[in-house]
Amino acid sequence: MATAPSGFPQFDHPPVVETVIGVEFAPIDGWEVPHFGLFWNELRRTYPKTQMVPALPSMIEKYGKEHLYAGTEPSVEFIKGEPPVRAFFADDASGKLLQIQRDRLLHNWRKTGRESAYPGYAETRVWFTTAWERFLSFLASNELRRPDVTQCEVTYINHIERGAGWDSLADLPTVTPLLSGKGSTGFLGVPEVTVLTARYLMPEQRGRLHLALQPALRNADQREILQLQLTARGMPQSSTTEHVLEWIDLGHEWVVKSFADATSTVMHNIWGRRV
Amino acid sequence: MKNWFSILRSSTGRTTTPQKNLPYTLVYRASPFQPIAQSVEITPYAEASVWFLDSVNEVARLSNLPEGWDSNGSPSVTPKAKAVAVRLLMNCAYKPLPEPHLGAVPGGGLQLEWSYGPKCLELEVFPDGTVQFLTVDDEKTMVEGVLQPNHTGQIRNHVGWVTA
Repeated sequence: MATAPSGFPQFDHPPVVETVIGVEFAPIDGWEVPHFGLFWNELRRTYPKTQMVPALPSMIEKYGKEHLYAGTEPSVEFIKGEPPVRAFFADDASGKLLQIQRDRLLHNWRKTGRESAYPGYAETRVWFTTAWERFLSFLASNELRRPDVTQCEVTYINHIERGAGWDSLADLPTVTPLLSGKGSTGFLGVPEVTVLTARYLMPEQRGRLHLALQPALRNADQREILQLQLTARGMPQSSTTEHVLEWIDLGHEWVVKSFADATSTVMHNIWGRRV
Repeated sequence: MKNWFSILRSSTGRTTTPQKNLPYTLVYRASPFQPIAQSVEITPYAEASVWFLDSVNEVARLSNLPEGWDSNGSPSVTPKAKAVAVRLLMNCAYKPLPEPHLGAVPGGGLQLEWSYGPKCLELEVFPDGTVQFLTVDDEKTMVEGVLQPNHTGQIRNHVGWVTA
């Protein structure tokens, strides 16, 4: 959020710790485990570390009353055969993380230390675009078809540390105007745990904005945080890179403007809001 | 990914072992949060065991005890011991365990103890962060040893033993 386009909210010290730009596509026929290694071999200078983890499930935004509660209720699914996998290709120095699975390509930036600063959307967009183009080129050279993109996604994860604007969950209204942590009579007192999730439809069913706020401990340094996660997801007009990037720019706009709308001016001052 | 009770490992690192000879993978999810491609790991209070938050606060309280808290000149709990103790709690945050008993140990360490029926698991965190375990079963058989620096798997085994 530090180098947002003109007219977007900008902060000197945004609390963002991770961003994700990605696409989901119909599973690529013929994509097998060896392709992970073949593709990494082309990228290993940029992403020297690898890790295999389970695949993320498909997340397609659906619209209409019948899908009002989709994704929030418990569900059980059976997957035939081996569990699908996802590859992490990472560079700890820059915070870059490329995630590939049979139906996804995601590019993350992760804050790797207290001094590492968010490089800005313009930079992370280039990282995603470069990885996506190389992926398309790899598929073509291995006679695999170009993916049909079904969803684009932009996620920002913000860690609002305890002591910087809030000390207990009674202070939540100081952080966000969306939630009051206090009851009307004071009977309940301060909540032990509070979570807030909300969804917003983007106009013309271009997608959805998912917001989740919850208290947690950050595993790496055990600091108490409020994690504010904003994900915009939707379908691009077509699978061309131009339309994919057009949607990702829209998703970025929604995430950044939603972040400013969902947080208070007190917090904006702490984070050094400029615009 | 939040709260995926499945035989797959979630992106927050919780794992269970796939069963052999199963032609299908069972995935069960129950969470108000959508699975996301987050890689920075957190332990959400809302998804951890009910004792987790109290225990973390108790470790913080014990770590703030002044020098000489035991009337015998013991130093305060070291930051290293505190950090390792919280990490141990994080490793157990999603396990079906009862609330642990926590205490400061003279010399600057901390002790965590779970009693479950006739079984007992005791973890002592030394001031330098090393961890010694002691298990006692219903026949008073004691096993003790030192946890490896990357002790996630060992902790999982010990917790599994306690709750089995």
